[in-house]
Amino acid sequence: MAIEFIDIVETSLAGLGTGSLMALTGVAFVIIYKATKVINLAIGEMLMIGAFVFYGFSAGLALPIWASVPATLVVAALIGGVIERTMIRPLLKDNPVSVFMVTIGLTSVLIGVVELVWSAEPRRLPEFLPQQPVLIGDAFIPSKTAYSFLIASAVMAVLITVFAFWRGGIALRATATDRAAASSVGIDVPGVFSFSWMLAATVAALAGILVGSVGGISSAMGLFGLSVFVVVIVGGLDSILGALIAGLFIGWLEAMVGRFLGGEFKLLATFSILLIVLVVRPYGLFGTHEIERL
Amino acid sequence: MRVATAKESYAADQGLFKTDTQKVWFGLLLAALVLFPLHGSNYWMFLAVLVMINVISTTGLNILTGYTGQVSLGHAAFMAVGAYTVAFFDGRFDTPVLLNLILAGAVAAFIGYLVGLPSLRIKGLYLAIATLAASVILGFIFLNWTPVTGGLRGLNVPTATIMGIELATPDRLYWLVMPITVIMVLAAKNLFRTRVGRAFIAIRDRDISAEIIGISLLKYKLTSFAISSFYAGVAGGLWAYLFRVVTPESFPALASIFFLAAVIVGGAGTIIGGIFGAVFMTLIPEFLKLSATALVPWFPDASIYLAPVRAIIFGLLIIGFLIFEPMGLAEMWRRTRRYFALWPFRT
Amino acid sequence: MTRLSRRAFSQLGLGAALVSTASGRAFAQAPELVIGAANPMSGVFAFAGVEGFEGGRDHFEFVNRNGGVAGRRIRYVNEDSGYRVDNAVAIFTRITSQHQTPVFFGDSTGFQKAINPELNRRGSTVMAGASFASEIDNPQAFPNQWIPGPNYSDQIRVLLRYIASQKKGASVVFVHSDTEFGRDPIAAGEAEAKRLELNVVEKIVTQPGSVDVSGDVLKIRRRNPDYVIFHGYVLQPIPEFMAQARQAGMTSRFMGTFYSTDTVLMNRAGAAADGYMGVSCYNFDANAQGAQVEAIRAANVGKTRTHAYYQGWMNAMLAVEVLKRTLAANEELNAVNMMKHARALKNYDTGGVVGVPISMVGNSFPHGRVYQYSAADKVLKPASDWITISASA
Repeated sequence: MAIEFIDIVETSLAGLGTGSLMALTGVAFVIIYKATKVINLAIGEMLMIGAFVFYGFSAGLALPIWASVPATLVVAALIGGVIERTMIRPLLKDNPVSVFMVTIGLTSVLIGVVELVWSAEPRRLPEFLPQQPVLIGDAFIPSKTAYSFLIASAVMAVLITVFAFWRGGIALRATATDRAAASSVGIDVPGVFSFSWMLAATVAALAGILVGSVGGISSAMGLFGLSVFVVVIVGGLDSILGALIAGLFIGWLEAMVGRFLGGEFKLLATFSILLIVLVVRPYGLFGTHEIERL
Repeated sequence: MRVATAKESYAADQGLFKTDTQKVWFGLLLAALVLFPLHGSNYWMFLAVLVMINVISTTGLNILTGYTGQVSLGHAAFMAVGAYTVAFFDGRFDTPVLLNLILAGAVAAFIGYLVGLPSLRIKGLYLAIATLAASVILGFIFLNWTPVTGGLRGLNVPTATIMGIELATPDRLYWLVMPITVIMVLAAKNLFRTRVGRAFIAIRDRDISAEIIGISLLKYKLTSFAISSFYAGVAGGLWAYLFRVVTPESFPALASIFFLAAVIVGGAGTIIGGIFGAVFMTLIPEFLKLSATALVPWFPDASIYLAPVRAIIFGLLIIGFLIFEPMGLAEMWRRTRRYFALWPFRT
Repeated sequence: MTRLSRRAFSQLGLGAALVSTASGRAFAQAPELVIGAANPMSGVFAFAGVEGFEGGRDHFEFVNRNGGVAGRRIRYVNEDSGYRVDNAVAIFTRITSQHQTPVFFGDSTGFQKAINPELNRRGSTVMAGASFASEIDNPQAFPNQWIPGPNYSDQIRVLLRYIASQKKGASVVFVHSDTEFGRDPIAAGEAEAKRLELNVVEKIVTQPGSVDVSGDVLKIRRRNPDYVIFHGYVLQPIPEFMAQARQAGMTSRFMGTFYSTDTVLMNRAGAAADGYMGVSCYNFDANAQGAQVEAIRAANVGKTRTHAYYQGWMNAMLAVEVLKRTLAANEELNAVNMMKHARALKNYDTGGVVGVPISMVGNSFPHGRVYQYSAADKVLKPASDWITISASA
């Protein structure tokens, strides 16, 4: 079967579409890491909860889209805040490994809750994105992928600008660098913690809605988080720009591998990249090098 | 009430069992283990064998994560290596059971050594992620190296036969698994009386300082990976003889988290913690299942909700213990013992 | 004082023991028949697993209400395997070590293949289950198992023969899951396609239950094959695949094997599923006649049951029949005797569950017919007569 140029173009565009969603979720991860230095393994499951809450509002309660989306984002922010306050804050003063393992436990709890309420059956979200396929020249892009890309890019652009110029973004970076110093100049450190987790949960939920509309929702959606994990390692755990670039790259790579080598090789390719980056440049493309002191 | 345990020689001070009380309790434990099969229920024999296999594996992970401080998210993959090794050698070459188990441990140790190599460059959570990547890659190999691992179908394991006796049922397999478990747990306890064990603990507590006083980080980290994987490999091999079917799905990522939870819940950094954790985590699903069956008169669909409830309880256990009892069940046990040791004085 | 109360105490104890054994003996008149099962009640195949379990459970309740098997009650012991082979193996080991289990229902092709050597070694249990794998339809290799209908290769053959009768040299794409279940009939399907001079232009392999099929739809979009045959899924990603394919402008006709020929699945897929064709051995006619289908209707007032429910009921019915015959012949309930009676099933009347009397050929019951889904009426309508499938048309 001949590989035509058009196949490569179509697959690349689809890959960039998925990649933008990976980048968006990666940004959520980075927000948490920037503020609280927590590696949140449950980011995929937070995405999943957002998608299911949206399903609950739009399909279960049959609310119109313009009500479901904000409702979902509010609920997600609340969930993020509760998680931070009850499970994360008590352990922030301890060994970072402990918090990491709490997020592992959290993945299990979130998956269990979703399966309990909605069962493990994969479902489709109600259609709310325009349905006509998008054509660039001869190349076909599924409409949901194209619109997801646009929405994700817009949100990321807003987040990047906000973090660069807004006082809150600077407060976040200050807390990440040195909690004691930030506290002593009057920054409300616990407030920053709560805010970062709530914002990250909201962004993850938005990504969940988009991922769900492209690929359906199921209790196994958290697997997406595994690829996102690779994205943030490659991009740098505390770099939003890194998450963006790495996200687009990994999304593109997975699509190309899936198309031309076979779907079973996708995760292998992603994790091989992860291993290479970990060994060659562990702090990622744009991450800050951690200097360890005795 | 115990006042003091004064010893007159270094050997006595470093003994595994320092007091007569400890020796008596250990003797009782051994007696209980030997007499346990007499109660007759096949169901409990099956559980006992499963618990002991998990004890071996958890002890291995405890050595790596609890004593050396290297978080590993890929422990189940090493068990899978052990299981496949046993399936391959016993199925293909009909080699003796004990040799297969040693091979299982050795091959797993070798793979563990390889997986530990990145610890030269990365540490802490980055290393944990690397172990996760390694287990995904190992999973891919199990699925696709069909001539050796049987691919998607997996491998069937012949029944373990020692000196002509077929260990086909759990109550017979018990007599293979139990001595191995006791020996390996004692060996682990003994490990931390030696130089190697102390080096592990030093690396966990302050690795830069350890390096300064002359402990080669790479050598000891790799040794820790290898020993921990050896335990996992043996456990995986015994698992293969119990279930007699090994497939790529037999040891999923969730299993690695199961063992990590067992280490946390039981008490990282203590041998008894490893045992408590394994027993607790293995028996929780059984207990839930019994509860679900008991609830059927009121909730006929209870069994459908069993899997998600189990997942939630599992996660809550990890979170709960980390927040409220970070030193695990072992610490609760220690507190109880101290209470009785110091009675009638308060702690 | 102490001595007296101790004596009284031990007398009381002896009395209690006597009472309990006496009452125990009263209940122990007719030992139950234990039928074990590992069903996927959670996970990606839960949609079928729960229904399969309930089909079996309802049938056994029906049988118990009508006197049981030779006066003995049936006890159905089921556990959730999550569609994982090692869970199913653990459940099998556990249940068979607790009870004498003459019949065990497996949850998957993978499990039933994997447990086969162990099953044969024991010789005390026969197995059937959710699998219709052609590999299992082999009495030499799988002497103690049966499948409750035509095997997957036969089902694909039926579909391909239908295609060949509609369009010469049509182009076909196979979409199947990356599981033992999914891979089972593909080789036979390709061979049959070649024999019928049909053109298999692509084979797509996906994870079962995963809904991200946009890449796969892209792969075949421009080819626009005449027919797309799904196999190895019980629900997703079929509806998503069909919806996206239509959105992408594909005009292919969709077909599927047993588990996807299901009214509930089709209703979920909506308009995109109009014209979907599938194969089944079960009779979905709401007005079908027969003692068994009437019992099914009575147990499910107001509910639409899926395909898997019928499969669970059918297996239960076959198990009960085999047990009845073995007990009636005064033979021991072991694998050899039970399979002998199973293979002796000829022109057996299924009480309406299957539209024709069934006979076992090899390890399967190769009867079935083609159904077509009508989105307007939301129902599967028969598109062919009842066929007894043979190796060649």
